[in-house]
Amino acid sequence: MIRTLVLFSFGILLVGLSVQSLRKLRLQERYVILFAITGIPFLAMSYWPDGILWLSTQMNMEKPTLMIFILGAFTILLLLKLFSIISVQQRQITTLAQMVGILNQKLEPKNSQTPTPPGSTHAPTQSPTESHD
Amino acid sequence: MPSTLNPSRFTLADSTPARCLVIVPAYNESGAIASVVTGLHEHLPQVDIVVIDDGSVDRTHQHVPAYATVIRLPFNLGIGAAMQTGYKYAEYYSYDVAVQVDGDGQHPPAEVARLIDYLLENDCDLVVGSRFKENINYQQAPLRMLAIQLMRRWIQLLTGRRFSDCTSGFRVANRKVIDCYAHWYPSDYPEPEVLVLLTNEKMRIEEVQVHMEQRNTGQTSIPFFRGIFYVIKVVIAVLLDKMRDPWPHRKH
Repeated sequence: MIRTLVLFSFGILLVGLSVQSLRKLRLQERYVILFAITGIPFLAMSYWPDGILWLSTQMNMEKPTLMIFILGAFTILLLLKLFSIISVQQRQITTLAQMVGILNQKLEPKNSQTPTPPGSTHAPTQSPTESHD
Repeated sequence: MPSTLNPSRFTLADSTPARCLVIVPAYNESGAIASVVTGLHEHLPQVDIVVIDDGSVDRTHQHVPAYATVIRLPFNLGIGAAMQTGYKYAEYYSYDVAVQVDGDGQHPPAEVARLIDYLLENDCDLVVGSRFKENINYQQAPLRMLAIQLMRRWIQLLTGRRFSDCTSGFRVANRKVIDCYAHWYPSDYPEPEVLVLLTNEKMRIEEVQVHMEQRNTGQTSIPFFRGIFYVIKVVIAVLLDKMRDPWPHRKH
């Protein structure tokens, strides 16, 4: 009974939190779907506690604990995906900050009084807002 | 914005004047930045200077003389991103040569012209100002020397080339390297990494012995305890650099 309650609560929590995050615009749809799908097996197991045993048998697993290993592997893959997203976004933020610095320098009054810009003979090769990353 | 008031004394292979930019990254260097920029301007009045204020909290930008351009980053991005900002600026304004000079006064302005001359006369892609090429007695903490030795050997193993001072940030780059750096530049401790990456790209890198000053003001970017992490990180990073291609645009 306790196991059913814990599994049901965790499943509801995952689905509920992901939907709530979507409503508050804290999570994109694709991640909501991912977490909602992750929560569904827990709800299923709370209704059918022996389901994990049945699934293990169907997959020719001698020990149900192997399912935990699969769950861990899934979590690690998920983390890898999230870290790659963070890394790309960190680089994009850096590029944006660099461009803000360069554009600000062009706008600030102090710099407009400094000697003639290169415009006449050396036009910029590209837009300063173009990202390389 | 850059100046075109003073004709450059440096010339390219086709005898046209080379447009040179000195990039000075600075983070909380209010005590040293004015003398660094003034020294550069006195020795090289014909080159443009851009100071990258990397989110300093001590009003570093207010100590920069008016003849230098200041780019103030909105927040601290770290040395790699600050330096890359200067290279993006150099690429944007089509500079032929870019010089890295630290904002703490360790790199003597008198040596800059020699490095630029060496780059242009020998058709190099990158010239590194080395403290150790000719075994001149340069004061360094023993652990720091050990770390430099370790990285030197490691880079030699990976590239087959011996760089006497792989951590020196006193460097002069030509347009090809400026273009590469503007597209991608390592973020944390870029100096050793770019040596490996540029060697992968078959760029011509040379070292020139320079005299460097000891740091008088500000704080070192690599405190003692972080130094250990620095070495581990660089050892792994340069190994990974052998396997990656950060500048695929060069092949098109």
